[in-house]
Amino acid sequence: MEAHAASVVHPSGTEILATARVDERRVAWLYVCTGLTVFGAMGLAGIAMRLNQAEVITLSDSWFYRLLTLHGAGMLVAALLVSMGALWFVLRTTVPLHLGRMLFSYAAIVSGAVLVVIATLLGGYASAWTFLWPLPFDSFDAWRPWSTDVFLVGNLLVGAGFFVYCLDLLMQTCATYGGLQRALGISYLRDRDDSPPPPAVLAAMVVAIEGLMAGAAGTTIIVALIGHAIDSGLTMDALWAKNLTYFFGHSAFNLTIYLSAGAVYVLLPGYTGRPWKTTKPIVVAWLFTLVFVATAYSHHLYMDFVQPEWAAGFSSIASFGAALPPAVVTIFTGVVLIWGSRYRWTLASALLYLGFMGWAIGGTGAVIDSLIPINFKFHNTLWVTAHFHTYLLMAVILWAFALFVRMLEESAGRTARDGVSAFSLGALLVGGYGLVGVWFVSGTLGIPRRWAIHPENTAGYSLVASIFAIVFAIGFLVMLLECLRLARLASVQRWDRIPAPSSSLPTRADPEPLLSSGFQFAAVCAATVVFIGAYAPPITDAVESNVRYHHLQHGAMYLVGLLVGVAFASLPSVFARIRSHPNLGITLVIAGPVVMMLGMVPSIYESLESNAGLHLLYHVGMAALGVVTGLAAGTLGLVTGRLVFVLSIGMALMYAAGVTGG
Amino acid sequence: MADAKTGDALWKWIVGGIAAGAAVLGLLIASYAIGYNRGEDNAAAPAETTSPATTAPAETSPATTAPETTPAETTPPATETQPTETAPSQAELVARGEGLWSSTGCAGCHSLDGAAGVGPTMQGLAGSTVTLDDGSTVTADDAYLEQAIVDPDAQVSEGYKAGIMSGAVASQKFDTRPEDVAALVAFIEKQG
Repeated sequence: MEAHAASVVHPSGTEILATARVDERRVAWLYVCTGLTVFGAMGLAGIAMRLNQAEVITLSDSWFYRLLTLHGAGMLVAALLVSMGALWFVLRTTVPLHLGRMLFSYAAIVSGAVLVVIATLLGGYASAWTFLWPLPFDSFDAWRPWSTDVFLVGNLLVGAGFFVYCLDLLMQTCATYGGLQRALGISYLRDRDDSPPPPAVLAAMVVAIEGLMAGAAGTTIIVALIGHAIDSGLTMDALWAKNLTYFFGHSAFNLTIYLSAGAVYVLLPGYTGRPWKTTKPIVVAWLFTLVFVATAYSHHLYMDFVQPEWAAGFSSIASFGAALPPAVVTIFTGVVLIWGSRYRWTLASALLYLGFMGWAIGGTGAVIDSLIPINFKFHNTLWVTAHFHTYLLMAVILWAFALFVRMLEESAGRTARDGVSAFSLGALLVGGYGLVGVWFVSGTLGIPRRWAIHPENTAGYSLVASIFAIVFAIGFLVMLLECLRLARLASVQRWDRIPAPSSSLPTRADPEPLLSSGFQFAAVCAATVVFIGAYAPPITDAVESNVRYHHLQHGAMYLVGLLVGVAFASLPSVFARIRSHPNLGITLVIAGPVVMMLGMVPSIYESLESNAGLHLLYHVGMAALGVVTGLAAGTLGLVTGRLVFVLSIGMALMYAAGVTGG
Repeated sequence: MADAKTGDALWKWIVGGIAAGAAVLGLLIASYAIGYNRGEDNAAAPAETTSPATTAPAETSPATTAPETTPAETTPPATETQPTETAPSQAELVARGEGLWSSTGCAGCHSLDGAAGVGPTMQGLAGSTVTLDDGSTVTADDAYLEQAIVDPDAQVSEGYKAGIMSGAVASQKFDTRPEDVAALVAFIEKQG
């Protein structure tokens, strides 16, 4: 802990906050600056689309949909980068997050974003970020076929970057706070832990677990689509594809608000002079989100009549259960923290405060839309555009700016000028809420989203929205200019050489093996023997007539390998050797399931079936992939390794359930 | 690692687990084998039981069969089961097909009024001459319509693409639902 520049935070804030090290600062700069740059560029694409619908400029339909695709995918990258960087920055003072993995995540996400730019601007790809089967492959010559492949690989890279981030977050947080139950606050809730983890850790845990689940779903659907690109005979169930696509996409967008909220838990107390303590309502709220957020995505499928009704009903409950508790508890406790605290008002702290408003209004718009009868009226309208722009634009981006400005104010040793702050904040508020307000109104009038052409006589709404968007852009630019002024002041003081804390990175706890008792070994060995039955000739003969069962058999073989790998990885002598190679483990737990699913592209295995020897070798290879994945999972520690084990076999089952053809 | 710290203790658990797994697998295999044999017996049984019945008039004398099996006793079951096994009426088929048309999402791609869609319209399809994507033509009779539902990629109409409908209906498993396919065909034929 080291003192902050007293003038930019609350007088008591210096006692609450740990000062970030140089690594944390540099990573935060890298992520937040890249994210805000991508946000600015994608914002220009958004304004161009709005001006086109206002009939001020003319874009061809082809270019409109290209920009729509680029804007959606690009904004996901921007929101992920700023929120990932913000949480990492605040958490690493207490949790030994891995610098190399964070840089790998950055490289993967930015590489993926570059591929998306190439696919859309050069290849003309324009199916929107949703890549809903079978549209990416049926452009009717609207885009070049290679651009689909490039877009999918780009998304896979973005997903891989986020997956690695979540893996590291879960591994290190669980190790630091003594296991899953303590890190989630469950032990504290049951009165078995007197020192609960801080709220930022609760948010980080929920993001990490949900992020890994969403990543597994996203990997499955994207690999299936890539499989179709390799072998056009591979097809998939359209409902299955939509479920997985939205599980991935909705969750990824949704988690950005929780990542950002985690950062706010740490940043805000610096301006209130009061610590943000963990209480039981906060723990319960985050547990609600953990339970419900994975199923909330299904509200995107209310109008898909083939989606089971129970799924729609559960999704309606889940949408409330996931969104309301953390928002209400966080905003309420945050405002109470500010109340009577002699809040230190600066540009950064004002942005933190105003972000609560964006979360509240955007979240309210979301839960209204998650009511089934209302969703039937609103879901394909600009109402939905309004709600997610509210929480992304007026919460996630404002909080990212807050961190950006805070680091500059701290480095420069002074705050932004009051007049400039007031002007830029005013422009952001008027422009931002004006823009989303017009969309809320347009949505209630039934103006559709995702369409290049709007109904006649509605261009006026787009014109008003465009003006508000430009006002927001002006506020954004003015704030950037003020940040540049602070950066110049900071550079005089060599901002990256400001005193760093003398303490070293918190010590990393040793990982635990996946199996920790003799009974667990016995159970895994028993399951392995039972699933070896998948190799029985009658089963091989029986599954020949049905592709899904055929893939299920391959999944069972992969499971045999996984179980063997997990058991071996947990043997004391083996674990002692592999425990120090978690980076290799992370690489293999991502590569293993991907290769396993690509190996189930029919054109690959069908050619082997005529030769009994090769066929057997292929089946043994499936188990070998499982062994590698299981061993790799063993390097990740008890909680993360077990979750990866479940997700790996989950991917095999999901793939078998939805993919057909051949 | 709790009780698994020592190699000896661990190996006992591992061997025990493998033995338990082998026992479960053995039970599964035994169940399969018993079921398989019974299935074979059942498959063989009708041949054994029906042949005496069918050959009864020739092999048995009226004196021995008459007291036990009279025509009155044997025919009613046959006549009673007939009405329940008869095919539903055409109107029932069409109604059932209309329900399936909605519930399985056919209308998402195919119109009934001639409007263009992702797939060809059903208006006027039945009985018409359809040009396929290889340039050949085929009459849209019952067999064609049934195949178009069960295996959409077998014959793809000109101007449309393979893989779209097959992917969309894969989960319906129409190949195992001949009654539903017949109902859908009846409904399509009703569209003129």
